[in-house]
Amino acid sequence: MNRIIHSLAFKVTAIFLFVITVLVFIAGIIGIAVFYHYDYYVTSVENVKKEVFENITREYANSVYYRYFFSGIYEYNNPTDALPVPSSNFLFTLKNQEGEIIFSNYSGEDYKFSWIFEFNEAVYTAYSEENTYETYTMECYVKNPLDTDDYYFVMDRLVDFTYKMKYSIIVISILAMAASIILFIVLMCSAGRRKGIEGVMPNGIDKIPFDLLLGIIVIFFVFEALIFEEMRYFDIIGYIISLSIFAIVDILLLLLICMSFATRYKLGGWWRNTVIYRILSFFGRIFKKTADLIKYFFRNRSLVTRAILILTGIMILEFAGLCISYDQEGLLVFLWIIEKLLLGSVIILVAISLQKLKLGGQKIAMGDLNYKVDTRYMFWDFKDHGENLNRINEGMARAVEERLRSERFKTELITNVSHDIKTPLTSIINYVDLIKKENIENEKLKEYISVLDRQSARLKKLTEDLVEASKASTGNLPVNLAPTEIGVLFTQAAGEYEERIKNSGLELILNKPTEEIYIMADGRLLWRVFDNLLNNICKYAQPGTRVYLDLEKINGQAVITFRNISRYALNIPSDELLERFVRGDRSRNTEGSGLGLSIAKSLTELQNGSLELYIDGDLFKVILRFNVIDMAVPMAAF
Amino acid sequence: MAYNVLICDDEKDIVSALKIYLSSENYNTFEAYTGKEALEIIEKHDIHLVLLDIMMPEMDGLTAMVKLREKYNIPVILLTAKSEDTDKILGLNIGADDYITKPFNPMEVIARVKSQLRRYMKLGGAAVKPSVLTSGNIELDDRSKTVTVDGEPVNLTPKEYEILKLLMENPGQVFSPRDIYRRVWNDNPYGSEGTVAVHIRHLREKLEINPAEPRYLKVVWGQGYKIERGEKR
Repeated sequence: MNRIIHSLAFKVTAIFLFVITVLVFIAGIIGIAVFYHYDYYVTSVENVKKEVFENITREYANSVYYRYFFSGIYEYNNPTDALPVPSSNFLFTLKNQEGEIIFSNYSGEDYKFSWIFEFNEAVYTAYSEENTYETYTMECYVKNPLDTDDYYFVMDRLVDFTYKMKYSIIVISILAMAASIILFIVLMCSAGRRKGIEGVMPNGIDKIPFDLLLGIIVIFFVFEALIFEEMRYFDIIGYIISLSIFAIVDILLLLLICMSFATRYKLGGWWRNTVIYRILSFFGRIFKKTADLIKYFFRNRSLVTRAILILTGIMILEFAGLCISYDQEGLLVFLWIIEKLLLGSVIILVAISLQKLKLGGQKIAMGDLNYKVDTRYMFWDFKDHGENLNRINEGMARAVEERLRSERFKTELITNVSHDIKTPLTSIINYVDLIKKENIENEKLKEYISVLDRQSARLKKLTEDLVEASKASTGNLPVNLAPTEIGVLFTQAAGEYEERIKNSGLELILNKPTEEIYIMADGRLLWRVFDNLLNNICKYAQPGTRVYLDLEKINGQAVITFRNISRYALNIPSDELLERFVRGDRSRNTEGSGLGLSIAKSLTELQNGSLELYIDGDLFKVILRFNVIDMAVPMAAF
Repeated sequence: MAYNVLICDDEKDIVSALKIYLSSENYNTFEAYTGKEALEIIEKHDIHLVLLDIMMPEMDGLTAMVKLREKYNIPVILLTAKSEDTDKILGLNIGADDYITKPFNPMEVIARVKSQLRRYMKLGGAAVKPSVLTSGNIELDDRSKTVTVDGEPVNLTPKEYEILKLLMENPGQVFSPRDIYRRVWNDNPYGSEGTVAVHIRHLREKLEINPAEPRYLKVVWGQGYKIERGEKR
């Protein structure tokens, strides 16, 4: 399809057909107008003929009358000779005021139509100022049947013929219009396309600026109209021929313009190839360069210099305004109001910008990393400042996210590594155990094996603690908070540790109020905190001392205190003890992973509590704080 | 009768260590190093218990267990390095009878193997006597005042017996130390409920294979103690 449409032969044919259909359409429209004028659509063919013939006859009658009076009757012996055009169907009888026949070629033939025309002739008399009129009447007849060779006959045939066509001409016009529209669309589609070439190819005409092309054609049309004016003096045939030629040329020119426009439109940016656009863009560039230069000048001044320059400018303008209007109060007031309105709106805009920047700064300071300062309506330095704030926030958000990701990655790594360690460790523990079961006589070997046994147990504990510590510190642990009675937990913990504490040579003293104290905690996790802390006490407390475990309710907080006397001198700060892998003795000779306190702290914080550590000489004190909740005596009624 | 135990782990050293322990207890052992091998051995031999590792090449332990459960009812104990609670719950839910995390104590493995086998082979379809309270594999006969775990008698002090009876009469219910003191000692505690915790610990040490991870006598931290409402198999 496209191949056919884009071929040159098709285009030429289509243009040819288009011209013809448009001409047919125009002719059809003119025809319809003429038919309408002659009432084709409302009366019979006889009436039409009558009207047409009346026009012809009136003209002939006038002609005969004037020729008779101005040329003189004597020149025309034969009345028929008085006719301007020879016509055998036109018959007349001219009578004067008295009804006498003065001139006639009518001798009683049959006639189809007859009319009577009156002519008033001024008569000049010597005794009267006023003109008097003489009335002549001319009876005119059209012969029936018509002779074959004159204007009546031609018109008779023409009316007969066209009257038959009065409806088909409408159909033809509509068809011609439809065909021309279709052809026009097809031609627009094929404009700029060429057979065998992809895309749109402009031709020479498409390269001429569009407004220039339009101008040329408009000038051509004006020129044509002038020629047309001259041509009115041509005869009818020449007139019609030249009119047709003009019409064809005009149609072709308009089609050319349309096709050229279509090509340009398809290429995109048709307005670029116009003289007006070129001129405008030239001035636009000059204007932009100038503006850039001014901007550049301003940008490279400091804020203070700029403020001074602007204020100076405003002062000069104010002074100029004063000079112009110092003796006209109305103008002065008007200028003053205008200036204040402009300045006021600028100041308000500045204030809004500052307000937004302040809010953004506050949000960032408070750690809202998703906040964005809205810089849409800001200008100059305010915009720069706002964008800088946004960039700071983005950078911070990215850093936090990266940190979180690395924490998660670390937890995953630790979990995976400890899983991998566990398998070989199982073998070690099992085989050490198997060796232990063998009957070994060698005392040294027995000692070595007990070292292996102890150290492998330590390694086991370490891997377990490692996973737990990393999970607890990243919060990667399910926490189910429920009302928990600390008094009961105290009793339970004391029961669990009773034996171990005794074995460590310690004495455990519990102090708790008689009332029940409930907190929101995950019992399992809280037990692990207690477990770790009591475990530490068993390991590091000086034998023969007392261990105090206190529960108090202070300011709506449950305060749990573990106190013991350390076996080793605590020569490191308390906050360092909470770090992972730090132990009271730096030699790291004792059992344990050094993770116990760190895990306890993380787990406490997961349950919205706090863990603090105090060291006073050898006194080692851990304080847990949780918010107390109100429980309306549950289960206590037993 | 010597029971056939299948040990399945991709780590050969662990398999041979377990083999030594189990052989010393007079079990016949079979070895497999992947889930597929384990299934093949179960098809061919009359296996009474499976020790199954989870992370193995070719077919992991969980998949193997699901396949095994389509045909067999034998006890399966999972051995794994994964120690998260969710892993344990998943393993037990899809058909494991017990769960041991690495690195394990060989004695614990033996104890659990014994426990499972006793239950599977001897107590399989025993009828429940009315005077006998049961919870999981714990049986308390109130007429003879005896307690057995997996059919093995356990020696309890009178107070321990009373506490256990109280808990087993109300399985799943949590008793605070104060409640237990009032009910068992018939006295008001006045701060002496600490004794309850000590008794419970002793009781746990006698009833459980691993007292740190009790299966039946559970500590509800900050609330009290309870016996699991375990179903008898």
